[in-house]
Amino acid sequence: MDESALIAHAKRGDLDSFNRLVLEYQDLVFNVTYRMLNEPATAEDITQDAFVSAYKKLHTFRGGSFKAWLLRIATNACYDELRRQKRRPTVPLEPLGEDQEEIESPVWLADPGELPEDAAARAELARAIQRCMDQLAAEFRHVVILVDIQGLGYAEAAEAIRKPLGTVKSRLARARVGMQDCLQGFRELLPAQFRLEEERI
Amino acid sequence: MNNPLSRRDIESLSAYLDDRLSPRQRRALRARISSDPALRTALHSMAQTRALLHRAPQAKRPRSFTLTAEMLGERTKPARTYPAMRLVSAIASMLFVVVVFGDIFLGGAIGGAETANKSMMAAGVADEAEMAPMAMEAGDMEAPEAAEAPLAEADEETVAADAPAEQVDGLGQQTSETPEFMPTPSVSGTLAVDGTQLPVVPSSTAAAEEPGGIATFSRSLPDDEAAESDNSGLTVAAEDDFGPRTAKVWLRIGETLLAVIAIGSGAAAYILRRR
Repeated sequence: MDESALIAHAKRGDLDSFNRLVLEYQDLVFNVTYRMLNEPATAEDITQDAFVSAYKKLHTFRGGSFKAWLLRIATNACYDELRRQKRRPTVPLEPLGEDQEEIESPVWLADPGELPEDAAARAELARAIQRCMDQLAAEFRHVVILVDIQGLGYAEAAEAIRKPLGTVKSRLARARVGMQDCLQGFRELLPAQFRLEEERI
Repeated sequence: MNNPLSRRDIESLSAYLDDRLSPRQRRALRARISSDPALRTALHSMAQTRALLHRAPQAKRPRSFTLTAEMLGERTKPARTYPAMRLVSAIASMLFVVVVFGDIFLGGAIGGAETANKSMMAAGVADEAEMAPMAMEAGDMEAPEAAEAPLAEADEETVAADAPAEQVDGLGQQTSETPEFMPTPSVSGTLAVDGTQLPVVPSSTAAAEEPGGIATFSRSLPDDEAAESDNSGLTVAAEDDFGPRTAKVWLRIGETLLAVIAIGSGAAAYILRRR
């Protein structure tokens, strides 16, 4: 059954059809919320809430990209959470390192079939990227997550953030420069396979 | 951001990497890149950053996010039956209102007829008490007028039934023999039914003067002749009494059923809505 048929069934109250859409998009939505919030537990809650909200608001979906519509709900929930965190700052449960920085647990990134050194390299890269991403303003972070990490096109990203295409282009360019500047500081920390390398232009 | 390039150049480079420039813009930028080392370096760095981000590992979701009916805490499948229940409730409510109003407006007529019949019956019982000794005296007195007793005059009896109770009290000993449940005005009603238009007088006198009136309400006479005379007037009166009463009973049943359906389906629709 194709996506539009699943959506039509779900609109009529078929939860199984909607759950097939959830299975299709849950990795994407969780990754976006995690990248936006950098808190696995909160991202988990936000992701679940986003799917519940999407099901309840499904009658408002008027066609177009379902992925973008779903991501808009998720990212709106992320913005709400970020605003809430700003109002009521919380103390992280993760332990702090020597530099008083939070030591991120790489458990959520673990791949059972991965060699230990590869797992370490992956965790190191993820940590560096996330650290740099956290330094970006939310609206820039949002665009770079959607386009560069999740691979959405400009049009879908524009639909997801409800901004014109030009805004997406502009924000993405500035976010890339910001990430580039930040990652310079982590260059020597990155494993060889993840070192910034030449790309054919 | 320690980048010497202008914001416009940065946006152009970013769009160039994503192949979002028009062919003309692309050609123009290529020409600039080949002649401007700073632009070339910036493009190279941005391309590396972009490649790194594309390779960024995906976070593994901790669990499945599929939904259950409990999570939603509201309608799923029952949504289909909700409109039907709502419609049934609305129709039953409207019918209920119609029937109740019909009962109020038409009930007067039915009630009037019923009251008339009740009065007639009561009058008959009263006369029965009077007639018991008289019938014994009269023996096989015929009552041809009994068959002609006009039921249509029931309304007159109803009017007569409104006669003051003091007049009935004047009946003396004979009225004291009437059953306790019997309404006393019925005695005067007997006189009115027969169209005598007489003022209320002791019924024994009226009965003696107007044998037709006695015969009309002589259904309880023990004599066989009197019983035969019942076949005309009293049987019709009893049937007429049964009709409105039955209709009223059915009306009540209908009202109750409609009310139950309206409330039941409304409650079911509410519960379905809440689910």
